[in-house]
Amino acid sequence: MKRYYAQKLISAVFVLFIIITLNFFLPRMMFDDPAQPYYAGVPEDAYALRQEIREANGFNDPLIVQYGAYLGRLFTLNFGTSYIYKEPVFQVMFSRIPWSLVITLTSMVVSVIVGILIGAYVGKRREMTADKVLLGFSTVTTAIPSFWLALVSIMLLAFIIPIFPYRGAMTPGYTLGFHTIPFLVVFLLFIAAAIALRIILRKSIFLFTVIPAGLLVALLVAVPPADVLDVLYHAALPLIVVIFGSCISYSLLVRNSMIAVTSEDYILTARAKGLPPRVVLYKHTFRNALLPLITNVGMSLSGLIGGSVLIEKIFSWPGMGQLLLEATNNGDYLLSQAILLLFAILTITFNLITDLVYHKFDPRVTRA
Amino acid sequence: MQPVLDIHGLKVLFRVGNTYIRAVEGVDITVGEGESVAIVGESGCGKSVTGLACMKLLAQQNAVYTAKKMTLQTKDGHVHDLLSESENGMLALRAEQIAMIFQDPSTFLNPVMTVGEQMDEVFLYHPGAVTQEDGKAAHKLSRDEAKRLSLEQFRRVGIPDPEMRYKQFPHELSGGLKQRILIAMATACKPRLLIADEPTTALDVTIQAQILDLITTLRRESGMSLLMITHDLGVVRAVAERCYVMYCGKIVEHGYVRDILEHPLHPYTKALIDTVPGLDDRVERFVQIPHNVPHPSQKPSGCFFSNRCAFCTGICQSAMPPLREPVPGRQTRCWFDKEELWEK
Amino acid sequence: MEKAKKIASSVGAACARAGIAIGRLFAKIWKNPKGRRGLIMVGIVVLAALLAPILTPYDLHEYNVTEGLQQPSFSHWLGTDKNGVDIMTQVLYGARISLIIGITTGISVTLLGAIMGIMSAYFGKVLSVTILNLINVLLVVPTLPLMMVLSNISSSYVMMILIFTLFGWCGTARMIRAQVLSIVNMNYVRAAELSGASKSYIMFRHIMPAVAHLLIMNCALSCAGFMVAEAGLSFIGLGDASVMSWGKILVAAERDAFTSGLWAWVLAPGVAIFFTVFGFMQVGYALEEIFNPRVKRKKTSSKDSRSATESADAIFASMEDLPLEDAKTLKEAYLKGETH
Repeated sequence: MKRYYAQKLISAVFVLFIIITLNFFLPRMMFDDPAQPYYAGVPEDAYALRQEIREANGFNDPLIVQYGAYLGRLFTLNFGTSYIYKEPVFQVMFSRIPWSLVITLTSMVVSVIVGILIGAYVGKRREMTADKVLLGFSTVTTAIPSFWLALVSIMLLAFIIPIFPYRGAMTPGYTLGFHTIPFLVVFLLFIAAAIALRIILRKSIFLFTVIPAGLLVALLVAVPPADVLDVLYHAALPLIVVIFGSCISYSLLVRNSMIAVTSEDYILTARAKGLPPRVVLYKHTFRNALLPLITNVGMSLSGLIGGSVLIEKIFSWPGMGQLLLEATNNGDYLLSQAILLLFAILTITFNLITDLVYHKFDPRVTRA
Repeated sequence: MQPVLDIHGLKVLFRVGNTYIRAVEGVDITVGEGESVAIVGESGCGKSVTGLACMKLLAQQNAVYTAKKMTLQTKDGHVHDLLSESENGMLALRAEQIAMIFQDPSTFLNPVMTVGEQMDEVFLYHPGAVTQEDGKAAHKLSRDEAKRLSLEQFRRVGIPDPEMRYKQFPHELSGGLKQRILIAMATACKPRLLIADEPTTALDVTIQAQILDLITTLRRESGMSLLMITHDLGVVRAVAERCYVMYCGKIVEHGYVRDILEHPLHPYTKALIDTVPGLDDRVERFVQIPHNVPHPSQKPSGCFFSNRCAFCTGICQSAMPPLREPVPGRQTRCWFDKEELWEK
Repeated sequence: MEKAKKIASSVGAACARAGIAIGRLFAKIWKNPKGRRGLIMVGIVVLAALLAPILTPYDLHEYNVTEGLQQPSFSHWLGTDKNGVDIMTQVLYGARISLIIGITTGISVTLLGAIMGIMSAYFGKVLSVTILNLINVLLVVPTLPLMMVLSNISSSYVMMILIFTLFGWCGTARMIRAQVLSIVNMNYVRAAELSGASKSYIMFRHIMPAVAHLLIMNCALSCAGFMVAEAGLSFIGLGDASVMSWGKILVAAERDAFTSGLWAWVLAPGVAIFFTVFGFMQVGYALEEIFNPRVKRKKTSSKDSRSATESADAIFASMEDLPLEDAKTLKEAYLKGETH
């Protein structure tokens, strides 16, 4: 048991190390002069000055020394200054995270819930109309690229029937009001409540439901209602597109595993015990049928903060994906390095957490 | 006397695509009070389906079924018509009046719940069956009460160290222990009838004996009836008093176990007995029944056994013989009497 | 000389055998309704891509600003873009790059995945651990962002195929590895090992045939997947600037079509992507059904089910036993017939 997690942890650290190394060497391979971001405002022909800057930032040292220095900077969370924004990379990055979350978190919560409901409904009615509709629908929708769906939704709901805006996260000229202290207070309260519930009722499920809900409530409290409405109004189209796609894939996942579990022998045992159908469904079928969903959601959690590059680009949504696009298109490699690293760390962490949670629900895994 | 289980003319079809597979073709079975009855036959002859039909657990498996009569007498003497019983009514009958244990204990326990949780469920959802014994009125059980009863039940079926086992998951237990857990769950409410579907097939020979012994002991303690479904004539001899021999969805012979084993009437029964090698005789070749059990969609015309029967004649290939009673208390589905067959 | 001839003839025979096998496979796909649908759809796209210069009188690089941003008309079925280039022409030419990228990447990813998967499962502990760790790293690497960063080096299509292959093989490899592991433990492989078969013999005679169907199926599905990926990358501006692609048409459409109301411009490239991807996926599903009959979904329309339940009663009736009296007379009649 402990060995299992130790192994997982070691492999995670190893992977992280590789990615940091990759992250260090990539820009040095890609650009003729990796010191470019440091020249801010220095003219092309001021060779002496440029040379000085190179020297001062250690670009003339041997690669291995530079690598060491890079690692050192990482530990102090010093990612440098963004070339396009002229601000610390750390700050630029974290100002974008909430925007990505608005889309990703909302769409994930909605589509998981709707996916479970649809999947369970259809899974109980195999080979009936609802099932055929879902199957037919899903074969068609998996072939539709999401970014094109986004364009079509803009065409339909922003131009032909102009209901929704399609650019930006707020009406131009407005900025988001945000009260930090109420946000922190509410969020911490929810975290405390979740932990308390976990301890008192001994159900871990509270940790996974109350904390995200707390984040949402805290955001609603911290932001003036008018701004919330404005953001939601702007988020409507991207949300529709993202939810549409993931809803169907979650429904299909739940449907398939519902069908697989329903024909398992232990369901027969449960029914032979004379358990009411609802108990057979919730305690036996569901608990086993939702296992694949845990892995799936866990894997896509790392995408929560990353956002979707394509969707954010199309809707000019000021999230992380858009930021990465800006950074790569403008050669701001310090920024893209930091974003890549963040993505990697998130993926590794969420994979670990998924393993942990999965083990909670499926005790068999340690044997494998 | 009213039997505990009385089934007359049970027929089951399975729907596969647009066609039907004939699983059970009109079966009559009775199990008397405290009696131990076996259904014996090769795999694929419809034994398990018959068992599931008695529990009315076929509903969700693309099955269509019908019967002339299907009744269950409960402990209080009330006779329930299983055919017209609603699903809600069945919930109360299952586990309390009629319970079932299955073939492969490793797939019939929910892998993500502790065995304790699964045991508790029986008590939690059938509080009436337990509390009435203490003379109290039925009420909802608390988790602690359920746990206490579960541990007691574990002890009764001979599970060593029940406290520890209670917290374990099925994959942490051996096959024999898992089968004991299944038996514990099935007999928790002291049902009137226990249907055991090949309970020893997936187990080691030494464990088989323990499990059969356990079932016999539990039966003797509570006086419940037993319907043992098996392919193993040894098991039949060990636990059953009366026996139905089934082939391709039809009963081909019925009678007391001793009579059947010593003087089989039907060629199939005889063949089945001959295939069992005795411990003392050295054989040059094992006795076999030629060919396999026909697939349900490819049953031969006439008598289903005609293509494998050593005594097959023209009439056997043209018409299915009815179940007749040449000797009182014995039934056979063959056109010929024993004497007619053997002298041929 | 003799040897060369022998080798040549054996190579020829192998090619012929492979040709026959491929021909048979296509015949099987054609017999499957989904497969036929898919083959027809893919065939149409391939023809459109090949015959693009014949099918359209216009040229991709013929700018005519005076005819820019036209609504669909008889001479321009899908309208024109800002520079007056016919959009139908762009869509037809776009099929070329989509197919090239989709098919080459699909095949190369499948091959690389197969090699890695089999190596990790069947060639020793060291290789296995190395490849598994490599997969672990690659699965965690955020692929799309990294592709964006890497495509700064070069934006040619060869580069895109390379990157796709380099990062896309993990899934296939894991699937193949799992399959190989389960086969290696099968008794027939053990039996071959015990009877002294070499590793390479077992690999080609037992393992390859057993995973081949997975590979073929996976290939069709990954072709579809990489086509979507290509369109997406071109859409964020990471494609080859010199070649027309569906993603690039959509970039221009996003910029100019909404404000000028040229809806066909937005719809056409997407429909083209959908059409091609759907075709490939249908072929993939058909292969799945061909190789794994259990997957085949039962076709039962409501009409069938009604006729089926009606016949259930008839079947039940046919199960009835003969009445004992009738049986007696039947047997007597039979015995009489026999003695005569």
